[in-house]
Amino acid sequence: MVPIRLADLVKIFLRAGNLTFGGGDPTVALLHHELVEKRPAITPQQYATCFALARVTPGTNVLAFSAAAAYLMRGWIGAILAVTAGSLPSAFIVLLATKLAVSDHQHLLLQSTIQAIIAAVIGLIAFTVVQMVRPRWNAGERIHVVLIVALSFAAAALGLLPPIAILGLAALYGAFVKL
Amino acid sequence: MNALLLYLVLLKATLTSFSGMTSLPIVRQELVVERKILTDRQLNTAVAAGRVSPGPNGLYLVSVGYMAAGASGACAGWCALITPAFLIIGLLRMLGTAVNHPRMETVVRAVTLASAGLILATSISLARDAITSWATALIAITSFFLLIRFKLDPLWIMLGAGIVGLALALI
Repeated sequence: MVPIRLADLVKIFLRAGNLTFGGGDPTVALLHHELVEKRPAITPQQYATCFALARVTPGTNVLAFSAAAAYLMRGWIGAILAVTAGSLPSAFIVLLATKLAVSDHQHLLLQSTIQAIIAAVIGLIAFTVVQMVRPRWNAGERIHVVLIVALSFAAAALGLLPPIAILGLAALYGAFVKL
Repeated sequence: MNALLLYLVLLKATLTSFSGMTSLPIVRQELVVERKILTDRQLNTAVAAGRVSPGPNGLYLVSVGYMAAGASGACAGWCALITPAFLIIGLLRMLGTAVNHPRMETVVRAVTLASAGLILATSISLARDAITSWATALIAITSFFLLIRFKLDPLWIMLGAGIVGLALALI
């Protein structure tokens, strides 16, 4: 494996994390090109382990993946720099967008634009739900999908249980039932 | 709201989710329903702000933090977003390839499906605020259709919706 300088590591995660739209998948694909194919700084097996672990790590998968891959290359300092470089510039863009959206001196045109974007968010949220369910929507798992999604929805919509309790029960279900 | 408390509240949401948007139900439960620090309108705006930027999906927490507690809140939101990422290093050292154990995978699958149900329930409340006319209803339905049918990047959907909103205001 080719050792990587911290400055190069920061440059890679800065670019992969902040210049890609569409969530984590394009970022992880770009990191495969940079870290496995181009250099290589980690092995394909290490990449696969980081990818699998990121899926079971709470929070945002792409940040966990970045932390793991950078840790393998440069230890804790590498992990901290990778996660910071991969998210902080975008966080500033979000902050600027928020300041613009909540400005007290909004023009009518801006208000109408924001209202339309917020309406599109509802379509996006519905799409997110479909994306989460679709990989498991097959003959063998459909009954579990319907059961878990419907019961979680009903428990939350009717206020029967707090979200954290619903997630805990789902984890128990997953631990004892073969999906 | 105190930035440290906000960090802990948002951390609770990120620690119990397995992708960027799945923290939304707990964020809403904590900040809109229980503490009444944010409104559904502000939460909707935060999600929109998070999606017009490149980068990880969960960045809407920065916007949530800013609306709840200003600049220090934005910082708390970003910290809550990145903190769980470092748990992977412990997992890497302890589990290695054992993460592919079938039981571990089914737990994550079940939690992800439950998150889908929770997001669906949350979206009903958010939709009440977001869909205020036939035009906004049409934008929401069209956005969903375009994402499903053509797999467009959400950024283009947001930009397109913004242009439509601007055009409607000008008419």
